[in-house]
Amino acid sequence: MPAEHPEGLRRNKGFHPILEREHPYVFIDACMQAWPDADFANAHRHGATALSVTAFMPHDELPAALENLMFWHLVARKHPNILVATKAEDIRAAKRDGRVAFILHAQDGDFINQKLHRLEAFHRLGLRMILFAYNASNSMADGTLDRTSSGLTRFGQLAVKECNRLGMVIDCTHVGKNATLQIIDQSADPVVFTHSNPNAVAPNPRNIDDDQILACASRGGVIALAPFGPLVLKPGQQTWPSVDDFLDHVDHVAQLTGGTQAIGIGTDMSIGTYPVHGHDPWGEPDYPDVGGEYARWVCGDSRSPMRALSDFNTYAQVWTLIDKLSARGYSEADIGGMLGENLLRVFDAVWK
Amino acid sequence: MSAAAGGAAGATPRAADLRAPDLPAGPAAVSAAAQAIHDSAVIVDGCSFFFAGYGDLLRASGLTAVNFTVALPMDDSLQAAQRIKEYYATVSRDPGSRIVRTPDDIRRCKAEGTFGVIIGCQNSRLIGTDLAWLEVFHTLGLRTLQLTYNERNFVGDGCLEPNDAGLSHFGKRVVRAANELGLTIDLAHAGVRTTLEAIELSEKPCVISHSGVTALVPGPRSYSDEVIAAIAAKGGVFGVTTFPNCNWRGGPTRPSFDDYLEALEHAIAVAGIDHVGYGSDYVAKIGAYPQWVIDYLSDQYAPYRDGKPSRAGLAVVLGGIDIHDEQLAGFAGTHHLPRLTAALLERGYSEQDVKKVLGENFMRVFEQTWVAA
Repeated sequence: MPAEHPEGLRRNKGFHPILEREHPYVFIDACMQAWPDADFANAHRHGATALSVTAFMPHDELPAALENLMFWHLVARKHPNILVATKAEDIRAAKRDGRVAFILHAQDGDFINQKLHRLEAFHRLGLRMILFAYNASNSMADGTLDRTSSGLTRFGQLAVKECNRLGMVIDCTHVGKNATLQIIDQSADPVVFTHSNPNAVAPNPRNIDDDQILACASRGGVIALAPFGPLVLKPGQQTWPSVDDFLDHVDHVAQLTGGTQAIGIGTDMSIGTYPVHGHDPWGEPDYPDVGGEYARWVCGDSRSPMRALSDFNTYAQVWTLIDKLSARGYSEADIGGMLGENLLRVFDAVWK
Repeated sequence: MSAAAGGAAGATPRAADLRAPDLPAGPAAVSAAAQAIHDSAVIVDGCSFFFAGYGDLLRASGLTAVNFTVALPMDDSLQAAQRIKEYYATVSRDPGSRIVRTPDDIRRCKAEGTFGVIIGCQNSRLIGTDLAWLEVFHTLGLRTLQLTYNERNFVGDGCLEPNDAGLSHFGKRVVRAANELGLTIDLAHAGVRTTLEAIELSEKPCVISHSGVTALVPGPRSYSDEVIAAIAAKGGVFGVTTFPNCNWRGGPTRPSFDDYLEALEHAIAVAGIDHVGYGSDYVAKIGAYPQWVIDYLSDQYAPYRDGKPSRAGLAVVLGGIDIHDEQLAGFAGTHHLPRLTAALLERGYSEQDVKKVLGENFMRVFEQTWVAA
């Protein structure tokens, strides 16, 4: 033990005492962002076993998508505590070994540019989850914030089949409602929403209706609910939402679907510094208002921790979520399912 | 482009000498009076491609300017810039042609006997999701912007899509930006709702540069009288294509030049003489369609083959007609264009009306749209 380390702290440990606490669950964050300045050396101490990292920016074209996707492989190579998961077993192994797994996740299909084989190329490069259209309509599907809501295009229908063939999880978040229902209906595999909440609790253009939730759940899919402030904020609420508010969303889906087997967690949080976007898809003036009320009462800065919950805005606070789920009467099995086992079930089925 | 460059001045080949071998003798020859009117007209083809393939046929055609599909439909931004560069290179080697940026440039071409190259595109995919590219391409000389090509893109729906949902938010911004920059909006290959919304939103006339009329030949690439009338109502132009599949009445018979004239006259009846033009959607001559482009388009449609060996997607577009083959029976290609002038005169149109259809209508729209707001 080098002398410069204060007593009680071990090398490379102890930078945040909460992170030292082990919990028994495989916590899979179905949607998050990591940025190049993140503390990757400690990424395995965040209480999460798997981070579904947005592998490149929405609307990136092929070259940028490719370069950015490969960045995560570079990070994993440089940090022995990190691996890139391509099978569900990789995530279980990460939990056993005390490592963290990246799930490479595309939050847009723009880069495919009507070349179906790019799905296979990116699958071979480790991409395991994709949503077809990020807010804006593209050549595959409508985006949920766009003015069109027609469904899947001809190419989008082919892309569903190709994802099934490859073993790529299809994510319906950010996608227009008609397209999500068509994807759920046409996909041979279960599909997921990685960060959406029920409109029944918090009406928002980015949230989803009960029929979407039921359709997804009935096919064995998972709705990863988002402890993301603007999507949690309930009508009339003028305070920073807390885990308690978030659990109202969890309760709604549990009651609607008759259990917790279709529930997951997708925080939409960042590790590292969220960049200033030159072009922020959230900020398009034509889009329906997603964050206006939130900006009015809580916080309008998309880079602020206040965009998450008052008592769950860093991974260190995942314990708050666990404790409060338990306090609401969810069993250990329920909690384990919602934190990760439900998504693992989907990954087992899809990542052949 | 050596012949078009005027290197063989005084030895202009007549169209009849260039006819395809299977044509009956002499169909392209027209009366001296008709030829004189043709020679004095500003003639604009609303849509063609592969300038390098025009060769000796250009003079026979009498064309003053062509809206070329410079950027191919699936090009991204950088590929599109590369193609524009190639056109600049071709034109720079050819003193008989110039890239036109203003309607006056086209008039100058007519006056000096050169040929005007209009830089156009058949898909807005080249700007991706970034409007800044539109200004860049305008600066590079782009003057016509077709919003969609058969399939959905970021802007709107194409005519082959199962859905027809109209313009996206981004699409609405593209229409406004095209108005502001000074680009002609072209709605060929678009979904009907996308077309009507763009016409409605655009503050300037729009064109459909090359299409058929569904009243005579139903097909996804053609337009109803309602759309033709909507284009006309805002002052735009409907370019009627000689492309075979848009004039094909079915069966084993190749569509004829008369079939085309019937479509043209139908459009004139619906839109009025001021709102119809000529948009060949064809290469200059048989065989000029490079194999690599056929392969390229075939590759784009590969997903639609669905395991079938044929080019199923292309068959939809082409109506089952081999693209290597000639155009209309009795109209081998662009070099037979004087026959259009002669046929319209024979059908009783005045010289002035014939010239509107040959090019003045497109010129009017260019004058209204190629100006910054």
